[in-house]
Amino acid sequence: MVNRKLAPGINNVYEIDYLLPEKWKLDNGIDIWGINAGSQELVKIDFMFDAGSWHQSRNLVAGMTNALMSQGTGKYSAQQIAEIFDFRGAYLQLSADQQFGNVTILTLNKYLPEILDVTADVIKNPTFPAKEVKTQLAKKKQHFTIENNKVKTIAQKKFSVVMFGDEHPYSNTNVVVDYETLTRDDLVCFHSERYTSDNCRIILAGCYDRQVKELLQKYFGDSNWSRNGEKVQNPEYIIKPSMQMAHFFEKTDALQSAIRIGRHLPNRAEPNFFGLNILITILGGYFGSRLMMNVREDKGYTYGIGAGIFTQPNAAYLNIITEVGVNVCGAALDEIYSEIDRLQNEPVPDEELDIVRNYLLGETLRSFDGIFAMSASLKTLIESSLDYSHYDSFVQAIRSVTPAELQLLAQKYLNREELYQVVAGRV
Amino acid sequence: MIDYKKHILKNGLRVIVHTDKTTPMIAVNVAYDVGSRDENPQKTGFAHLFEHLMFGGSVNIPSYDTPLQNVGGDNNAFTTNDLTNYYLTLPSQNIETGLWLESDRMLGLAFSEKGLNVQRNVVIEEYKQRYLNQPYGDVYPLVKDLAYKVHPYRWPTIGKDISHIENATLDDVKDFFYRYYAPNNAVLTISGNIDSDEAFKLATKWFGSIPRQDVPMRNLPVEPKQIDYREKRVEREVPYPGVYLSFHMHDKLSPDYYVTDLISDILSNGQSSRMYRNLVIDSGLFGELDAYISGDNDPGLFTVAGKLINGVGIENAQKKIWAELDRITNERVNPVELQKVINKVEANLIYSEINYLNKAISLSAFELLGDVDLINKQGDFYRGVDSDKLRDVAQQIFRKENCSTLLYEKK
Repeated sequence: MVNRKLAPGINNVYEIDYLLPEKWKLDNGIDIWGINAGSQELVKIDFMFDAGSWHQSRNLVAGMTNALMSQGTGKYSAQQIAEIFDFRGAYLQLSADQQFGNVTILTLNKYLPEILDVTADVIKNPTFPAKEVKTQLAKKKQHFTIENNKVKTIAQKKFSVVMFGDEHPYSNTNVVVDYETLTRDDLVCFHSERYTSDNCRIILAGCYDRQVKELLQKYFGDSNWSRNGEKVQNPEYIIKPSMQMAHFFEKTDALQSAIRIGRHLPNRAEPNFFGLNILITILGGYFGSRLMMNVREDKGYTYGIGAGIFTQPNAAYLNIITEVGVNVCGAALDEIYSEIDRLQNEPVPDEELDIVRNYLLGETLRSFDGIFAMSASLKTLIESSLDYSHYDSFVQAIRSVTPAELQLLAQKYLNREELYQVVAGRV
Repeated sequence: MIDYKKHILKNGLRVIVHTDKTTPMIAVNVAYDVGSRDENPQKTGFAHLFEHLMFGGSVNIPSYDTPLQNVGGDNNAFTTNDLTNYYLTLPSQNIETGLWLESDRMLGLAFSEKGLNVQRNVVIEEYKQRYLNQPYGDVYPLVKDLAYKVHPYRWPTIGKDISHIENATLDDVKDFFYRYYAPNNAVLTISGNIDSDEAFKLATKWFGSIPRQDVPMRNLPVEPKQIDYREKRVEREVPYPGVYLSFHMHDKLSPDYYVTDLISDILSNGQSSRMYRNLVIDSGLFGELDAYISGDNDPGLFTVAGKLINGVGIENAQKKIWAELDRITNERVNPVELQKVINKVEANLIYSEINYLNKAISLSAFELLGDVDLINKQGDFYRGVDSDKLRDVAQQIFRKENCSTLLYEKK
């Protein structure tokens, strides 16, 4: 019989295999990173452009330009593009965030020539047909209106404005009328300025050979989609946080209230980033975290609560996120602050810190497991202009951080009077 | 093609192993053959509530999560109409910690009033978050209640009513555990960086001594054939009206299940699909429109769900959906269109082979359905569908008297 009272031996020594990417340039200067791995004959390719809301002059332009690129091009109609991808079981994913506009494809290798041919036209020659613009705007407006009825959306939007000020691109100030006033010209103009070869980076991941590289050169390596050395100005913004720390937005029919609590923190390349990352993991970054154990597993106030550091190229911030029953909203806030106070007042016990170290090492292993994870981890580095030593430093910090260091960080960065608090719903 | 080996332990536990050396990790997946369809109609939501209690410590181990996190592991679980599934992933050298934890909670749980109290509240908050505090949140329970009169699919997994969760007692919970949580009512799948011999040896070491139990035979009421069109109207505080048409379809072991899946792809999978093209883009009637199958083991539902663009009449919207359903019922699908959806399924099967955890979850689910080898036969089932078959199945399903319509109007 096995002895079930005794835990099996554990071994937390493992090498994390980054599989460093190879890097080369297309003839027109586009940087490509390649991760050659996986046993399935498929590739995922990310085309990244500096074309996020950071670069737009009015709301929605970056997102709608990106979303509409597949809705008609010089050579193909929206329907043809959709047919070509669907017939091959390939995926075209368009997304834009605050900083980047992304075009991502996933396809079996055998279809790559046709898929790249269409993708090149989507990226270089979208025509933004008036009818498709109108239909997509109506569709997105509907989605926006529905989302705006959710307490979590209300809280998150207000939180972004409180943290960054309403003129900063990291705050979400979209309103319904934006969907009615955006014009086709806005999109055409943004596309021609931003989706150019001088503004493009490519990540290739999967099983690839020389032929795949040649195809990328053939479809994207020309000089005919550059701005010929003419520079586009990248705007600069100043973060203007709210002077008021606590904000409440009433939704009278809410059954749960959404809570956001946070503040600005040092970014990835700054000295305290790793220590803070570990500290915030202890607070709310995994299932066994203090917030989960207290607010969910002891009090039952919520289905879930978490805390994390959200990073963008130009800012990083703490965000504590939960939705709680309206009748226990005040009590939940008290518990959240009591957990923050505890991090300031008491050193983290060694036993708990060891668990977090081991959990985070496992997570690091996961973030390089498989082509999708490897490519996502690489993208994070490229977005922040970092290299793989960033992950080495994180592993080093996980192994060496002390309870005393963490307590000092908590005392420096988690003072209650410096935390912004947003509640949407009822209290 | 997913290579696997299967072995049944003396206590009836089915063990499946899939080796994938491209990952440094291992997944341990335990699926119990109990879902919300096995619940007492007066005590619904139990299978799911129980899933929450499985994380409260077991007979020999006070905390489930702590030892797992301590070896770099991560875990979660989900409950469906048909089964309750627990999974964890960890670095391969720590596999025994995973098996130790999973086997101990199969052996017995540390039941406590405090744990039950807390998880009741957590599940009630989950109920609010998913179903009550969201626009359109109650659509799914309303659709099920309209389409099923007898079969337990008529209530949602989270439970028919919050009071059922509020009233759950510790005795109810214990009774549920001893009834269903037995090795002979479960499938253990181990996938990832491990050889099959080693995996079977370790599975036997940790699970082999758990006693077999008497598990009640499943004997569910069969949903009588629907013979009359059903329609229900509700009014809610939502920005846009919604239309939901649900049709009874075949069970998951029927070849027609795969035909129906392809029908849903032709109608609404991808931007080239018929409903997306015709009703969302060209005529601009809907902001969102989806056709999907519920994926249940017993006969499930084929649902068309749409949210109308402002100003579109709800009757007109229904008419346009029916026109698409009539077209696929009356006209043969052309070969290129059929090939398209088959290609898509085939590509998706290849994409799904990348992830060792997904493979473990699928292997367990197919074994519980009745035949683990279905995981490698699916492709052939899809490839074998022709346009006649597609039309036949569409004719069986898209009949007015087989339809339950929910009209979700704006207050």
